[in-house]
Amino acid sequence: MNALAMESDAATVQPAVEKKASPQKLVLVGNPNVGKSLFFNHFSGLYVDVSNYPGTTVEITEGNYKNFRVVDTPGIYGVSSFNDEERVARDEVLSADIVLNVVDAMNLERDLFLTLQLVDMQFRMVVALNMMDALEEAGMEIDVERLSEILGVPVVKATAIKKRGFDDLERALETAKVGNIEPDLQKDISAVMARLRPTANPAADALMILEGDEIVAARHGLEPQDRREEIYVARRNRVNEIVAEVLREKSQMKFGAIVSEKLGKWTISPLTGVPILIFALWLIYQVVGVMVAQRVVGHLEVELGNKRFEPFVKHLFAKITPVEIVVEVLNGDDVVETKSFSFPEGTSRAKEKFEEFEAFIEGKDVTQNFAFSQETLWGKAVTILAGEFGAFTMTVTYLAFLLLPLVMGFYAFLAVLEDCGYLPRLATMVDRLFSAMGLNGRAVIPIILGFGCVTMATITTRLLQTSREKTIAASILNFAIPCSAQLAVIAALLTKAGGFYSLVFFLVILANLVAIGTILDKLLPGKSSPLLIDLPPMRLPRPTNVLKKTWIKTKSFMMEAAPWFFVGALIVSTMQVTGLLEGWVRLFEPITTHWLHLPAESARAFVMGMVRRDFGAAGLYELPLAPEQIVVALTVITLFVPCIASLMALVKERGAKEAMIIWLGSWILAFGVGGAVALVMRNATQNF
Amino acid sequence: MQSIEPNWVSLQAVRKGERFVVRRIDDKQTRAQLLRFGLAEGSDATCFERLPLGPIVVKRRRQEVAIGAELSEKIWVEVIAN
Repeated sequence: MNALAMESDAATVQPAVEKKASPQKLVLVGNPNVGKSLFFNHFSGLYVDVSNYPGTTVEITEGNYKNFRVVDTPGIYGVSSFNDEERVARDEVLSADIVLNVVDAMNLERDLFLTLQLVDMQFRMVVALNMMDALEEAGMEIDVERLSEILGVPVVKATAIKKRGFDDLERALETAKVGNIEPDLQKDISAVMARLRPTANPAADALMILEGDEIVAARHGLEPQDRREEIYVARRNRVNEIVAEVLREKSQMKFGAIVSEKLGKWTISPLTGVPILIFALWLIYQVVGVMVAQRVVGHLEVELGNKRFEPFVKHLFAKITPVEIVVEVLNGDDVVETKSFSFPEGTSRAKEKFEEFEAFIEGKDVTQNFAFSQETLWGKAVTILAGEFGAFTMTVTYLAFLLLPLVMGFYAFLAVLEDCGYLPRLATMVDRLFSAMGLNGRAVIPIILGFGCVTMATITTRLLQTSREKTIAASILNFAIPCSAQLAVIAALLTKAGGFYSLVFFLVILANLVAIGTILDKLLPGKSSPLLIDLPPMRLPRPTNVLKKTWIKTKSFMMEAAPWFFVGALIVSTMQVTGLLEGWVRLFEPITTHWLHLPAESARAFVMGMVRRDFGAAGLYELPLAPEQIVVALTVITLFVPCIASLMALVKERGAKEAMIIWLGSWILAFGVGGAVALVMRNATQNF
Repeated sequence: MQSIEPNWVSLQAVRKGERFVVRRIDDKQTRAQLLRFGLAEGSDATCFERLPLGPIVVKRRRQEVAIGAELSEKIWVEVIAN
């Protein structure tokens, strides 16, 4: 392997010192869904770094293999700058020492376009021809030797999912070669190369400039050339010729391939596609919404978080802080006994009292409510850190026991949908619906995720192609989509209100959602990007791939979002100890009583909704409300401002100005619509 | 501006199951993107599925591409016999 490192391509003009010290950069490139990550997993093993690419939000995964630094790139159909993912992939590719191009043998016509582009860029490269088993199933054959001869680079057969072909591939990497390029194109590239500034791969940069890439051209102080179309057409023709030469139909399609093709057809045919879509959404709801969000999270948050972890932390502070602990003894969901223990000098100074307290809770199912004395600055500080909304208490519980399982559940489901090839089909099915709101079908991902966690979904709006679409999706999410934390409480309250009122609530929210999208579509300048999406064949999801994707995405979300939850908690706790929170509640009381015709206490629920959306909903649960009032109150909290973490994510994704417009707009929308619903309901029923 | 031949129709007008040759794509970016998927001006494909008012799914060999309704109006094709 060392010989390889020393040999280094003559084209490289990087400083020699840097070259020797750093390992070779092996970049994996391929179309979306070609099983690239399986190759990456094989080479990099378990220990990988995931980072957001600077200035964008596309993830780059890196690992080490022998003396290579292995970099995985987002799936792309070609190297250029059509979207964020392509820009990131482009820069990683342009800095490669060796390129491993993973090709889906089943989609040779599509994939070879990228391969030829990489060959034209004159990288030392190896082509891995993946999914050879599926090719055989489909009754086809590829003349690999001939393909390798035409391209001028090693081509290796592989079936990554069955771990076949990896040994050959490892050997082939040592013989990675620069491939055959058309003489005419070579001449043009050389002409541009002569004018370049020092760079890692001059031929590659030169080709990008010929193909009109403005950013690469600017790096060299050159004007981009407008020859993309001509080069693309020539490349497309060459691909078609190569495919005609190496690909042969050998036998009849086997059963597996027939099933995959039929299934693929059913998913996008209106008659069968709609039921499949509804089934998929129902399944997400059952698994993530009911099982994870309600059962798993319910258990973890209450039993581990509220009953064990939080009291543990609070007791540490209580040792030296004046505190009153109110213990509620539970039997099932009912409080059967309440007892208050006062420790004016902290628990460590009152041994006997504390023993009495411990004896009282021994063996009982209890909740402990800590009221730290607010008389000293220390007491206030403890409240901020470990109080009701404390950074070490509520925030940790929230992140570890609520958000983590939930986000993991959603990402796992998304990974399954992505891996089996259903996601682009889903996007196709809902495209019409979304285009009415100025979005295209791709927006289905953030919107679905929004029902899990609006913060997570807001971050995912990056996937959308234009800033306009990102704005629309982020607005819909933060105005009108209730997150799962809220959904559970909303569902419980709606059960109280009954079927008719649930329907009214549902229609009001749906109308708002559609109205927001439609109005923004009319107001915002420009047009949204139309759908143009490749539909990969359907196949069984690969468990290792799904697990790895879930893990990587969950990890990066938690790392990114967690700080904002802490910031949020600090702000609210500070508002609590300074009395600001109560001030806001009082400010709201007149609006709640006169305009919304709700009890004054619901003002508190609304204000708390600014912190965590389910707090808002939960606060309503205890109030005696008529069914009409439930509809009004739920409408308000659903349309009301996003939680603090979502707001922070919104600021980060869409900028402070846009975030504030959405945030302030939520106030107007929530109380405006809430008041209108109250007015209509009062006139219709004269019930409250 | 190239002319549109009388026997060309927009992709929007193609019925499910019909075969056609792509004649002209009126958008530079789309042209480049479709070239990558193997749908160049001059290549043939089939209308694999049409969603009511929605995208059209075009198939060429094993490659399926969903094209939004709006975009399909910018793609001129000539329907040919199967």
